[in-house]
Amino acid sequence: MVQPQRTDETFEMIGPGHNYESVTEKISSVVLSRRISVLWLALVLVFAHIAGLFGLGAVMTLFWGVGTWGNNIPVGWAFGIINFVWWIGIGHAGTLISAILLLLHQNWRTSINRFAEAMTLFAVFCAAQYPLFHIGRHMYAYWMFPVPNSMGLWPQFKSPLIWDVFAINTYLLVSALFWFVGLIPDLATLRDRARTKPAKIIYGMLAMGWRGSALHWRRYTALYLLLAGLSTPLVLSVHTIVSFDFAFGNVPGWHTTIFPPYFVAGAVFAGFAMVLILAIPLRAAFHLRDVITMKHLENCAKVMLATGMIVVYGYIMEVFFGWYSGSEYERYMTFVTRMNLNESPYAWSWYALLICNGLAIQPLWFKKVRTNPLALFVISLFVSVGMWLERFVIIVTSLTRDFLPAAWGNYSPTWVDWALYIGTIGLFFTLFLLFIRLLPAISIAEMRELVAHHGHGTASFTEHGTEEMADARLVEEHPTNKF
Amino acid sequence: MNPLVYPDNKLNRLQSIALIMAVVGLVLFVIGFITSPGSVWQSYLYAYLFWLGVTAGSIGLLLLHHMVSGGWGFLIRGQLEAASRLLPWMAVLFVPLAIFGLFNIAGMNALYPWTDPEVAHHGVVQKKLGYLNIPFFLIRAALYFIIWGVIAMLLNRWGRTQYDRSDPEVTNRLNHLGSFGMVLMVITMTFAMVDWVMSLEPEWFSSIIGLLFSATHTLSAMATMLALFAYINGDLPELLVVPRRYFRDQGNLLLALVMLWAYLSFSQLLIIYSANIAEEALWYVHRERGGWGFISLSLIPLHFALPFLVLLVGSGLKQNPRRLAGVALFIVVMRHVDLFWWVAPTFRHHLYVTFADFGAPLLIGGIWLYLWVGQLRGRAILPVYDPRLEGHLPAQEVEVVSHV
Amino acid sequence: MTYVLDQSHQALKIGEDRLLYGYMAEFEHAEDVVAAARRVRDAGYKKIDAYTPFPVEGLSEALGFRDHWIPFLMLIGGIVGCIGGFALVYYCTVIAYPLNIGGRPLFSWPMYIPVTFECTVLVAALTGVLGMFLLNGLPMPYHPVFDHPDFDRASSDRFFLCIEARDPNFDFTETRRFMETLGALHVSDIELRK
Repeated sequence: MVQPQRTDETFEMIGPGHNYESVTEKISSVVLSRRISVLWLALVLVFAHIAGLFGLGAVMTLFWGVGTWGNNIPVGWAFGIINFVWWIGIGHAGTLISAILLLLHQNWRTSINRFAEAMTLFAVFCAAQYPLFHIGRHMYAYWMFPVPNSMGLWPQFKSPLIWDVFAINTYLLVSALFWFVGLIPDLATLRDRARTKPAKIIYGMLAMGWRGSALHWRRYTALYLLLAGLSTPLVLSVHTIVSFDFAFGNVPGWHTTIFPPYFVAGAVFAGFAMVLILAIPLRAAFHLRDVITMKHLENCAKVMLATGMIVVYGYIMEVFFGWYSGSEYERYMTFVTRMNLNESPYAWSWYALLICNGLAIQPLWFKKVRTNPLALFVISLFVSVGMWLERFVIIVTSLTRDFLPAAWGNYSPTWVDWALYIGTIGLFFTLFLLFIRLLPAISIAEMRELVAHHGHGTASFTEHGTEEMADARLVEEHPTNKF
Repeated sequence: MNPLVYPDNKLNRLQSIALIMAVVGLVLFVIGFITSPGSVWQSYLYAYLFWLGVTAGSIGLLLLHHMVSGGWGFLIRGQLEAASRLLPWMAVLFVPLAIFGLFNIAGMNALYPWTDPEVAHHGVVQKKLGYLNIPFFLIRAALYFIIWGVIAMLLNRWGRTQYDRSDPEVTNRLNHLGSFGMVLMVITMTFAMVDWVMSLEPEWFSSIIGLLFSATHTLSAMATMLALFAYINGDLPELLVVPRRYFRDQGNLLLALVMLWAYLSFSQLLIIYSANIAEEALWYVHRERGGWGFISLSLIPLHFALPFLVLLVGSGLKQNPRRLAGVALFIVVMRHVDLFWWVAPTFRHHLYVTFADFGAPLLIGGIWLYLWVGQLRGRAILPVYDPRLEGHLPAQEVEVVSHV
Repeated sequence: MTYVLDQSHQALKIGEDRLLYGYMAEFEHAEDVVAAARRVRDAGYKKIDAYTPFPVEGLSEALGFRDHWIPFLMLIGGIVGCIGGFALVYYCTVIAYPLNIGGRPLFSWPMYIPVTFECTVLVAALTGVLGMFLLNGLPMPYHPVFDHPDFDRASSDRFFLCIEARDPNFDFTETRRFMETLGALHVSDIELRK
């Protein structure tokens, strides 16, 4: 699906010659077109079948119990939580793009925020499956919530695992609201352009009767901006709390104070890799190169490089403080369990991690690489694997060798573990493929704003000033500037 | 030509203030030296950390600005560059710290306990002596100053061009320096803070310290620069040509840094509190006993909540340099309290302050300000040929700025 | 000839079974609708609204809308969530189910911060979203302006300005004449369906 750089690539935020009607048509036609492409259908079928693996693993787990998984003492946490953290991390980029970049007046976010938010929702949905199945006794799932009950039992609020319950649920809910609020004007567009009766009715109901009233827009933009302001610390808190899951324990390799910022950076890193993995085929398949332009890809690559360097800094700190702590357990963990290929069965994963997350991103220092979609796609794949390995190193490697040698033990996943993991990848891409055909993958209303501010919208706008002045005005008057 | 320069009358007055600060500080420092000779270098260290933070934080802010741009940087860029040029002086001011920190002189114990053989060959500390030893400590210190100095020199040499003429090549080069320099800066700052702060309690370790101090030094620098900006340039009508967003962005960056300080500090507290390992938790125990708990707790409302709320809701305040400077000055004071809290409880089992605790920051601050003002004299305020700035200024206004 | 408002005070009776909701002017450019809104407002009309495909800068100010409910509601929601979250954790860990966790005091406030924060965000966000819908009167599947033949372009590339008949200054002929001078593509009637 990935194609070499073509002549219609542009470094602007939007290709030339677009006006309100053309961006509306371009984006909504992807959804409203009745033609179903063979490629899309084939991909949906393939990924849906892969998602079936998840169903199989889930049935095994429900029927036989968590004993079908490979984790057992001392490695009580393994694939379940690796995959959970991996998916949650991927989700973070969506919120970062939609909220933080909005607050930072980064207008290039416009054309990628919608599908990045969808990515967040699907990723968090996938992530939530693992703790849900890992709890084992599903009839007691409600114990995680502060529900008054006849046993007089309450959650243990000093445990980060309970904080996770609050953080993940809040995150899922707020992201869904943010996403839906962002969708409403576009749903109205789809309602107005739909040609078939069922589409008109369904989009009409979802649009809730949005009519674009100026007063409504006023409240809408205020809300959208404040939701962005809330989501920004929220997204940081989520991965911070996830990092507490580990840092709160005294296990060597888990307990270190750099975890919160290091986990947040790693999450954004993995998330931007996933954004690129999704965006590069998407723009090629649906001819969206003039909307998701080279500028977007390059900026994503820059964010990936920056966060990747923080992650590498985290590795350096782990090694240095493993030594500097002076604790023999910490030193053994760092220099033997993780790094010594002869002594430890898992040292390979640490070196593989360095290659994927440390070495593979270094080419991104060069603009040539940052503007080559194929190279970006490959590097992003490396990063996705690398960030999975990072969680493997932290969780599995640390647990195999803790304080007492008598309590050491090794870990290997079972086929159920793999089925659940690969199954969620299928689930994620199935949901994503359905999303791009059912809802506008790019925010049409925001693209119109971009068109208006870039002077392409209507002929008369350019009479008022040059494009640079329009830019300046955009910066001055943009609602985000009220903050 | 670029004649909108820092106004001499303000600089003169500031320099007089700096001289008074230095003299008063020196007197207090000497009184402290006589009354409680054992603790003067603790005072010196925390004051030094603040002003080193302002200097190194200025380098960090410049690198950040060249890397990602942002409206907050254009108005204070000249000030930041002047601060970065003081780095050699910070190396000079480090010399007494190195001497009295590492050696027992005239009956005073060295500041860093691991230099004492009793401590050094005890418990976990003996396992760290490969890192914590005097020669390596000095070599590292030299290395930090060399690396920071080179970055500061390049920032100034290339950055100067943007005040005089348009040169896309230089802009490009500064952009690259921004990203590479940032990587170097954070890594070296991490180890510097391990050496100069963390090793005060040699059993203790916290791997977040590098990011924590990189962020808080940047906060020190930003707050100091905003306070000074309002004093020197607060009533220059010519500066009103820049978009108002620039002022707002300054306040927003200050807000973000205050939040970052809270986030990193709280993460460290919570993780150490939860695991409760003796080597780590003792550090907080020292900061809870003997009256120190009051200072620890007061940091939450005063170093975080108050500035946070004021900067969050005060969108009008952020557009007024004078009022923003009030908040910035308050943060400067709280930065001193925070650094004092990092250093002093290690040595003082009960909360008390000495004359030198007030003398040292005034002394170093006075010297620093005096030198800093000297670096500003005759310099232009705005880098009018920075292409990112021109993009925001309508063309004729660039002309106005250039030919006032 | 004078017309009177119907019983619902929403529309003007302009004939047997015909109710006028208002006049709608259609514009091609965002700047034009802002300029027109300013003129309509200056002419003393209060019951006015504009319909645009994206939030146009300065339009709601030009129409004289002053509405600060959303930030206020979200602030209240945040305060309620913050206090509620903290109180919940306090109740569970100190009053309802006191349990010694690793020797920490029952009231370990640093451990309360994460849940308190999550509750703050959750309640603030929910209040904001619900508040936006309620204040805007959504969902509202039908509205008279949808009857305008071109209104499907209000979600694409056209900008509309409506003076509603319930405005005290509304006049069947004068208002219409006034709207013709605003530089719109055309002005049309919006009738209320019976």
